[in-house]
Amino acid sequence: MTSSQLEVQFGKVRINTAISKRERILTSTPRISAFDCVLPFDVESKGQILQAISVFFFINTRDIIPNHFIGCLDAQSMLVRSGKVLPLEVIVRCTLSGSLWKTYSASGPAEVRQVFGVELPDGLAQHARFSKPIVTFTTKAAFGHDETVTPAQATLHLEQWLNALNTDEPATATAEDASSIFKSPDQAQNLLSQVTDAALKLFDRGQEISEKSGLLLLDTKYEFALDEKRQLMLADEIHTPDASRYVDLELFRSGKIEHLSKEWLREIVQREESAFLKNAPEPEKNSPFVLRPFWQSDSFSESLAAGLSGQYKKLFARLFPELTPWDVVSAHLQPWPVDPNSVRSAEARQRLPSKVLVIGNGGRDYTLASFIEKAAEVDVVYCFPGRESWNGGKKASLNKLSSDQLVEFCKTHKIGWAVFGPEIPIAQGLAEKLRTAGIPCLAPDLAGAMLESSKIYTKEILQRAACPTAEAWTAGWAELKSLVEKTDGGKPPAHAVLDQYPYVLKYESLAAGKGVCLVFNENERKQAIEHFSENLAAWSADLAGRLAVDTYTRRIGEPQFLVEKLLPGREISAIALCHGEEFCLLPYAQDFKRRNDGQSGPNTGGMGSVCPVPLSPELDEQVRDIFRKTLKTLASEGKPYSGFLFAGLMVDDNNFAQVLEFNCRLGDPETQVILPGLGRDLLLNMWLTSLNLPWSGNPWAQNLQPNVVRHDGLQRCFVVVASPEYPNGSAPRRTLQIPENMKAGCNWIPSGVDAGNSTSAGRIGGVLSAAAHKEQAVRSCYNVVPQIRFAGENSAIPHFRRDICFPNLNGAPAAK
Amino acid sequence: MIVALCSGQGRTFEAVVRILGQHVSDLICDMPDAPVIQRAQRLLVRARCVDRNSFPDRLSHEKQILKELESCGNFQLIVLLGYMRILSSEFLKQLRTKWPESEIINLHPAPLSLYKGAHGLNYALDTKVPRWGITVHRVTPELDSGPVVSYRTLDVYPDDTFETLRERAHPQEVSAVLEAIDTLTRRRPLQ
Repeated sequence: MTSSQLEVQFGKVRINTAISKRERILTSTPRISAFDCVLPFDVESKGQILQAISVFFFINTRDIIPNHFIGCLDAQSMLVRSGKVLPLEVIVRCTLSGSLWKTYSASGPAEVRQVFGVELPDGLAQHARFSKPIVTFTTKAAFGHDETVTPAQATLHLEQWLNALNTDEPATATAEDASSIFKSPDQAQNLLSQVTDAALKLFDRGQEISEKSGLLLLDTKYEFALDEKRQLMLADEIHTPDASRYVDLELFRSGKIEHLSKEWLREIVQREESAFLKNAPEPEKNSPFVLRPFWQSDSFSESLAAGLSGQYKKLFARLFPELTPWDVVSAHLQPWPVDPNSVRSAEARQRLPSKVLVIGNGGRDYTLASFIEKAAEVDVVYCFPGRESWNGGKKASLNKLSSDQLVEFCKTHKIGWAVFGPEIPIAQGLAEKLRTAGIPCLAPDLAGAMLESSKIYTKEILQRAACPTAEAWTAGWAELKSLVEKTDGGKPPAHAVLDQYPYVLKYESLAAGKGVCLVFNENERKQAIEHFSENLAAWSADLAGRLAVDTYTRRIGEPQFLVEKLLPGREISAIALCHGEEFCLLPYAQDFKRRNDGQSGPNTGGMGSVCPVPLSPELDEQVRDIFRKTLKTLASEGKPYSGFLFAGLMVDDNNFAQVLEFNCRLGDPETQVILPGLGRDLLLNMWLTSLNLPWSGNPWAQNLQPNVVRHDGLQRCFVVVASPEYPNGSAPRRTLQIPENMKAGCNWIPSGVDAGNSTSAGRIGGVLSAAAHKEQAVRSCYNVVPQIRFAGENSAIPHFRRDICFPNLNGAPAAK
Repeated sequence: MIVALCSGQGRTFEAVVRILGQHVSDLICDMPDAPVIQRAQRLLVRARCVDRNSFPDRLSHEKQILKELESCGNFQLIVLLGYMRILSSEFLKQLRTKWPESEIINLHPAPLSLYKGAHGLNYALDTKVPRWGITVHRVTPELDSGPVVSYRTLDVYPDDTFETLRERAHPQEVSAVLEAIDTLTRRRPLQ
């Protein structure tokens, strides 16, 4: 078994490594999480204590329900059986504490009934003890916080999950010992009552044992799974102080509370909120940002770490007087089923660096940073230049640095990885500079960047790769100019194709999205040439030596143009992460380029997007073929491409796709709807690509087909909010007002917003929403978008399209 | 696998089983009314009673114990946790012949050098010693002798009663037994 075959998941506080289809290794770390963050300190002995407590209770509850524990490999690693984990967390409580108390005290028993599905009398005090323990449920959310649900909602949730499970892997009728729950029509109902029953018995056992040790188990959380025979088993952890509240029993009886669990830390942090500055990074000596943007003081961290370690040790000593965690687990040691070094090296290989740099300052780049930030082992995501308004969470912008200072910054701060958003910094050679400084970069090299910066080169590659693309010719600037400058005799000195309308005239190199003109007649040709004439000075960065990348314009020393046959049809785009000849396609997204409803008005950078968009299998195969052939040609010519590759395609009425262009990056606003639905497998492949290592096979990853990344299955919709002037003319700075509490499932993704919510670009940002159904996603998005306003009376109103996802084409001019 | 031999309450037995789980497979008890039997049943440990009073002499009683041991499967270790009878040298010889790989240890609530015999904690109270010890040792034909495998010490206070001293000694006993088991099974992990 090689380390590349082990699938490693870094949880907030545990590492979960699949060593085969049937077995996993769970490693407890000294990390601690609270309030959805991994806190910036380690808690001494925590990993050992947690493992020992879990092992003890797994052993002492086997008579109630089987569990996933097989044996211990060392003081912090245990071998467990794999299973399909139920999408519910089951909470058992014997007192009115935690989130139940919060709801009860704030909104009363009616709300508790509504949210938790639990009947409670009026007038209970905090920590009031119930006559018997009660069970509540939360869903394990694919994104965001876990959500409390009533038993009825939990049943529905289980039913959906079971249906999906049965579709994926129908239960074999021959399996004699398959649990009876799958033979019943009310399988979800039965499963839920099994779970409830088991949870109550487990909790009773936990209370019985802890009471003998002078402790009261107030509440705890269980997770269950179905094993390979589809029998219910207890998974995750059991009765650990991370997932339970323990208090001193004697003190509790006299009306006092001493927490011997993570609650101890939560209470202090809530009391000392000023020290827990989640959204306000403090400047630090010699560095523009603190390492962990959400903490103010090191000594506070140290005191919390030591204090919590003390409480955990105290709990352990109560449960196991005179024993060490090692005493509790040592009898259950068993030999490693795989070489421990291969597990450790798989972990190391699949561990992202703690400090990552994202290049860019647009909405796409914000989304990239947010995507990387989700990795538990990443401490900080620096953004260059980023925007001050992004600071918070793990993001910290470096907008005060020049690009030379950036390389220095990366070296002194030991940045482990740089991920590029936009194309210009790549073409300018920033990725090459960082690579020279020893920092792995996710960006194509300069040869790869030519796919975007030289349209003539791209056309040559496409032709050599035998990819379908429009016929084209090249023309120099002098040749074009001669068409409008009346020369003697009026003889056309230029290529005949320039008279054969319609065609597309494209400036060869980078032109900030404005280098393409459609030409239908002589007049439009004249306008196009005038347009180029006005802008060429600004565009000719390659001629002026501001680009490091090669172009024909630079080679010839004169601006070059591509004259391309106009292809009719509809435009689609496809993005793939590429590494040599390997590639994985991201889910297809659709963006809406026209400014106004009904696909009308001028072209823009994009007014909205949706994902995923289904493509017919034939078309999907054509797209794959285009990537396959292009990457193969590039590799065979000694220029293997690595990084994201964006293909703009035109699909005609016969469902035949041809390549319009390539971009060497993720698209904006497609990224905003694509990345949030993707997970660690893409992130890991991005990292391996940057290291120039082959992608791991992840042979046991569920539902993983070749060249496809796993998607969370949610529909996403993104509506851009722009200044009313956009895209014509520059907008004045305005102050943006964003609703504080966005509807669940909605997020504000900023692009042109600076500190103090001051707008600084035409496209200001947008609202992203996610839901199970497209209609739902669109509806909740449009609930939020109109609430985004500019400050001040009589101020302008932000512009947005009202028909993203379902464009109203009735009576509107058709898109060209 | 471990087989425990007990005669009485079985508090230490329970604590050890809670930690070792199914590694403790069997209990053999010589007193039919001993609470340890019920504890074992609750902990899903097979319990059998070889009532000492239904045998005419020690040898026939021990013979029956050996018979029961044969049905205990492939045990690696016999642990005496408050077993109140002395095992004969004939029994130990038989044990070594039949199970040459297995070990037998005894929990003795006293330092071996200071006190041999039953009720070690009472002796500590009676003699008003300021400190006392808990020993786990390999069993040899001689009463409460044999190489020490693990050892713990504890304070004895002037106002200690048997109950308070027993409370203080209990976790030390559990700890000493676990250490001894860990030491003896390190080369050959528990099945």
